Amino acid sequence: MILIFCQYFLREFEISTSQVTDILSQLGFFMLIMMLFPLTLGPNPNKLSEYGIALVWIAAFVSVVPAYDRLFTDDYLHGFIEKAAHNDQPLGCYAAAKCLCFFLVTTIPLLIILPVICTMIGLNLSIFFELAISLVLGLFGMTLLGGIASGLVLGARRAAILAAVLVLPLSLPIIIFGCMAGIALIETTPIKPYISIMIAMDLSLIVLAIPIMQLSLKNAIENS
Amino acid sequence: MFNYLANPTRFRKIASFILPFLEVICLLSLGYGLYLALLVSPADYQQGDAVRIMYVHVPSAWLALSSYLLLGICSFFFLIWRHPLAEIAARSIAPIGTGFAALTLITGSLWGKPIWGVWWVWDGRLTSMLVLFFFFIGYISLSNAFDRSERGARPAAILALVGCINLPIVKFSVDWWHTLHQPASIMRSGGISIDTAMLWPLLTLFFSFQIFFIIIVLTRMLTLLNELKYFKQISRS
Repeated sequence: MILIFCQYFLREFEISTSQVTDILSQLGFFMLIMMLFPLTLGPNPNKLSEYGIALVWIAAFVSVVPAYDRLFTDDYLHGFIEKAAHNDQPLGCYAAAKCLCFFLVTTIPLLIILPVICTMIGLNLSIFFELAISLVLGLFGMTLLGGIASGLVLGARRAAILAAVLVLPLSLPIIIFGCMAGIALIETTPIKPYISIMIAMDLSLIVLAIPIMQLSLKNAIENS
Repeated sequence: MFNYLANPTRFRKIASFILPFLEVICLLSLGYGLYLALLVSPADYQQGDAVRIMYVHVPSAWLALSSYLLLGICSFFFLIWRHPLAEIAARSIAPIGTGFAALTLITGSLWGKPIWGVWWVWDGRLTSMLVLFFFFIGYISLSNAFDRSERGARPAAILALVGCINLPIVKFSVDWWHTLHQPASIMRSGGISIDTAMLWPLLTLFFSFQIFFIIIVLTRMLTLLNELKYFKQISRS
């Protein structure tokens, strides 16, 4: 099982790192969203740093959501999922590897660019580490939810917007606790309870999301 | 019991038999409830006549919540036992639940304007009702997103179950988010105990709304069954 997982993971990793433009365009989208906030809220640095953490969260979430529909779509259209199911390989393993790879590919570039964004928006860099941890936890849960949505919309019309409509209401708890952690950071109150809740949500999502993704992938190839 | 009712022909027979009775009960109880609510029950000493919005608002909120629960139960039955009727039931419940959620939000904001002075506040309960509304929207758009309509049934059922797990978490996190940031100022939850003069019309109206809900769901289910039968005949000929 672990071996199959590693094989899938390596395959996914190679594919996604060979498509550097995809990663860059997503990063550019994130920065563009961040650029919109000073233009709409006004350039006042106090205001920007007050809302900073919420803005980073919104931009991070909104920039990954449009990518969710292509999480499984390519493999579905090329018949890779069908082939894997035909060879009696566990689809849950495939889905987990895909999600992990997607998570790494979207989050690591974002973390690299994050200090720059923080400075631009006037956030103190001393909180960068904690902010990055909460953002990583949030994006991890978000990726699993995105995997569920992406599995469900396989073969649907206008799948991209549909996946976004499905993901955003489901992701509200993650966003709420993530932003509360950020607010606690600024107010220098302990953030550990929020981080613990986010870890708990992520772990329970791992348990729930993988069978659900397996079910929906299986359903998609049976009825295609 | 489920196996007995799961036969579409038998279901159709029973449903069309009990529908007229339900309609009569609904009309009577609705009339009586409205009479109690609008004429007999006293106006609130603080809110005046605006309190009468409650008699529509509260039953529709209860119905919106319970219809999501029912949607989840039907989806569960459909996923596990592949009952065709469960899918049809889920498909008929969803738009009605959306309607009741929307009605709750609209009457709530109509009620909020004279009492609180604003149409909308980001209170825990309001926000979670809005989220419920979006869950319904997601369910409906997913089940209609496929070119063959029966293809959408299973993804939508999975989504409804995920929503059933997620909804309590959303509710709890929204409540927590609210209570941490501002003290509960407007909605004193559990603080107001209701007088029997108001409780009785509320319960009557709730009962009639419930019957109304059942009537609409049964009618929609019968229509969907007829539609299925029609398409089957077309494809055969």
